[in-house]
Amino acid sequence: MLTTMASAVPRLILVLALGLPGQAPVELPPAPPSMTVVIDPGHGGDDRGAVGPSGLEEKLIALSVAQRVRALAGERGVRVVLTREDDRQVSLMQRAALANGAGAAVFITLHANAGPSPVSAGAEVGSFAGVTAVPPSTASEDRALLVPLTGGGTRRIAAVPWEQAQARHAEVAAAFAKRVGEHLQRIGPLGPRAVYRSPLRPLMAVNLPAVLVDVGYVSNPEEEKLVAGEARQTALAQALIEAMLAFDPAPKPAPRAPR
Amino acid sequence: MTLWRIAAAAAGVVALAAFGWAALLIFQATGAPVVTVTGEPVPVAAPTAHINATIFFAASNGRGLVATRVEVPLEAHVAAQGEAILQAALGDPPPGVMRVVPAGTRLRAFFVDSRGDAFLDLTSDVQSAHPGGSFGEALTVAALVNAVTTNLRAVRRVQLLVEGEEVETLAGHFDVSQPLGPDPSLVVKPEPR
Repeated sequence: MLTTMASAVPRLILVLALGLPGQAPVELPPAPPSMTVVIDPGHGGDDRGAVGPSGLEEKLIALSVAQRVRALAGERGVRVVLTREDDRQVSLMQRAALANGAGAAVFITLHANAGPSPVSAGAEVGSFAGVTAVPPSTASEDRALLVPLTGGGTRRIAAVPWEQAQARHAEVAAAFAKRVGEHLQRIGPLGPRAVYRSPLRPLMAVNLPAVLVDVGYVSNPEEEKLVAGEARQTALAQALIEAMLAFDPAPKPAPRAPR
Repeated sequence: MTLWRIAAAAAGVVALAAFGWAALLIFQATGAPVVTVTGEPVPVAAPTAHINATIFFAASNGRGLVATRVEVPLEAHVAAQGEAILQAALGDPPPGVMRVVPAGTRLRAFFVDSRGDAFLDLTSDVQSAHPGGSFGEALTVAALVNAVTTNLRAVRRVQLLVEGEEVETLAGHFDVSQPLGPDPSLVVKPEPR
């Protein structure tokens, strides 16, 4: 049914675009802005991640929410690349490599949380903070390489150390994390850390602004039920899409007030 | 003068009686003789000196770590002192707080290098028995690192090892591949009782 509808849409648009004799051409709505994002469902395969008291697994929640983001984002003109399509194990290096080659604006790795207390609850958003600070302007310049070219001469290229890639985007990513937190807060109170910075391993090698989103605590029996449900997962997916669309990674400076 | 002698003799009798009575009480309480009359002298264990160390467990409200004071034996060297503190940190939590290091995790080794970096080598239980979650994992790491850096001034950073090897994470989120400094951001005030 969906396939039939989808194939019918282009024909309909064609008819409208050609117009009917004697009638003014129908103006199509402007195409929405094109944007690519990478959504990384955490864990997978043998790595189940956290498991709730009823047996809900972090890896499956992450995949389910990621698939909802992709389904809903398409309607908003956002192209979503998933780092895994099903329940399989993918290394952190493979995920980062895929993200770095996707030409994406942002990277979100999706997880479900757990803590020692069964009362911990709420979504949280983390961005990267290195143990050793790497100034963004020098991280690549310090390791610039001179590459010999065929036919003579050399070319200077910036080499980014694999595990320090995210350090260059840390400030932009922190701003994005704040924006994501604002949107998630509209569907429920955030968790103990709310929006935080930490040496998060799944983000380290990602060479674009990246955040880790915990959609809720599966160690909390009530929240485990909540995040397993379609309604909360759809709300989470929509909040993430709104945050992505609202985020401008390179905001222009505010115009100066006239003197 | 005579009165003085009588009084002195009476005081001596009272003192002897009191000493005998106290010795009897101690003997009954401990089951051990107070005085060894014959035979080889019995070696008396020197009282063990202790220090008050600060270790960390999870608050029952789930909002972070709470600092807990415990008594641990005073050791002569920083590495031995670190081991004593970590044994307490890996042990059972007192009432009212919760464990953040998986039960069964044991300390394989603890040593400090000349730069002030400590190396804390744990058994693989810290990974295999970890319940997961980025928050739970952050609490585990912070509880271990803070226990060392809070009590040992010579240590600035702590590198976690598992079965003698460097690892990326304990549960998939928090980078532990390099030495970490203390993280006070996860420490909260104890809940009022």
